[in-house]
Amino acid sequence: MSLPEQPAPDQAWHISASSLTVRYGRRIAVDGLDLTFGAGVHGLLGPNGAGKTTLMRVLATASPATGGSLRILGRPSGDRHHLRAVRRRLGYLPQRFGYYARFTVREFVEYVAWLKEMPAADIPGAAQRVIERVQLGDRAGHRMRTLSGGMVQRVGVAQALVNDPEVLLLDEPTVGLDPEQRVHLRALLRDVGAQTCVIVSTHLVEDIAAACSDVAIIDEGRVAFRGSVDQLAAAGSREDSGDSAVERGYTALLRQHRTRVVAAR
Amino acid sequence: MVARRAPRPANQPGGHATEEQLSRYVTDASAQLMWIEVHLDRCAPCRARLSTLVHERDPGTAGLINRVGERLAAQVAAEAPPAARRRSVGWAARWAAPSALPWLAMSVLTIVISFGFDLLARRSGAANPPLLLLLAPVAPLLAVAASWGPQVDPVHELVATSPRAGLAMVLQRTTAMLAVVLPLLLVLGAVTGTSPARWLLPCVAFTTLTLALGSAVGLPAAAGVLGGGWLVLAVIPAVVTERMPPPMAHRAMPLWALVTVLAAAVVVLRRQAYHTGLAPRPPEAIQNTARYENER
Repeated sequence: MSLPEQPAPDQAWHISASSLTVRYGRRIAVDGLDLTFGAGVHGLLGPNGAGKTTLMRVLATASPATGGSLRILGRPSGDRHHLRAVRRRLGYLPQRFGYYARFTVREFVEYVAWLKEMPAADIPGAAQRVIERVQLGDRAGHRMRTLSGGMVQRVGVAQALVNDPEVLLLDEPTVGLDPEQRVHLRALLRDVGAQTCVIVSTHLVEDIAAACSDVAIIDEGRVAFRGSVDQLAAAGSREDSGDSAVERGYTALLRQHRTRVVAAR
Repeated sequence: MVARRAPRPANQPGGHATEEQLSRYVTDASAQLMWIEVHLDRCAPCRARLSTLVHERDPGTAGLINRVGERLAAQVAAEAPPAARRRSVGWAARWAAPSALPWLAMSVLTIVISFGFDLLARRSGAANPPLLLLLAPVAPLLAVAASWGPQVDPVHELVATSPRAGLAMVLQRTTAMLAVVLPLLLVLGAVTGTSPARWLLPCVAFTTLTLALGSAVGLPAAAGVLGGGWLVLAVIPAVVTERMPPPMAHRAMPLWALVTVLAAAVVVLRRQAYHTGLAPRPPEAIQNTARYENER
């Protein structure tokens, strides 16, 4: 493809957030985040309730930011004029992936492709490709209600990929997958991440180590750490709890961050 | 979009690249010939001429292309044959996502609204009608929008973050629902001696008319025009005269039915227009679509 990229301001990053804040009533779920994401697989790690899902929903344009600025594919997130164009280029697997039980796998993925306003002629081929990519080719004609949890989750990944998104947001994608499927999904993510900005939210440290090029640790709506997986692994010492270097690094960084937060108060 | 902006040399007859320009493109890597690339993306005859030129002048590149071609052909041959082509979900199924609970919710709400309106109209009589009745063309739309909320629709999160979320989707689902509920209400009305369907006719007419008009001028404009028309023809007369306005009278109902049939015919004929979405289509949106299609 030789056309120059569409000129959009600040296209250096797929996603750039500065002082991003999200409030639910009086509760602050995301508290002044500064984060940028380009191509690659980025892990979003943190304890339950840290604000990962809230952040993912804001990035997916499912809920609005209440403060700071956020640019998705170069466009300000509040820019209604470009919202449709941005949404065509997003892929999103929500934390609670819902589906129409009556649809077959193929019908569901094609329905999402239609929702993404893909050209009609491209939909059957694109759906077939992503279904095969998540190894569900032999189940394409089965109804969603007949699938196991792991298969449903893989349909969730397929529907997120169907429009060849430039930003792919996966909220806990490995939940319900058996070890072999997990390994396959991680390989798929690395493959997609070569050209796409993939953000994977998870609370499983081993997913990060295997699939991601870099990591952001979120705690209580703030960035506790941002760096490479190697830096994460090197941050821990023998005294830290955890079964692997990455796990020890995670607990060490989280503890250091919490100490800093307490000291700042 | 770039093709239109790119400088087009004066010596470029009919938009095609000349022999000399193509051969410079092949031989001179430093040449600034972005417009030729853009043009080649779209022009099969020029690509064919380029291919001939490459094979004549640049054996290295030609050899590389042949090797890649052979390897790809071998890979394609090795892969399993593609699944047999089958019909994908029709446009009717896409307009009306098959999910029992939201369907039930919007149908029941609409039936309740129509009986409620009918009761309200009977109680008040022709003089001084409640202004609430003037919401008849939009009330079912609100019921539909509410029925596909996050608590009821399992796929809400995906739909809400898709480019198709918005007015078009509400109108399409309303049309699908009314096509089922309206005949039911006609029967129910005949049996019970009431006329609830009367309060849905303006809505089905407005919905189909907005979609029909929207396929030409964009939905927001269509909705604006029709909303303005309703204000002038129904709301203002009702407020001024304090009587049921002519569009809501019993004898206007055949007219609404006629409008609905005509608008529905337009919608069916132009159904392809709804596939790409019904947003206003500024030049940029068209360019984006072209770019999207080029990339595929």
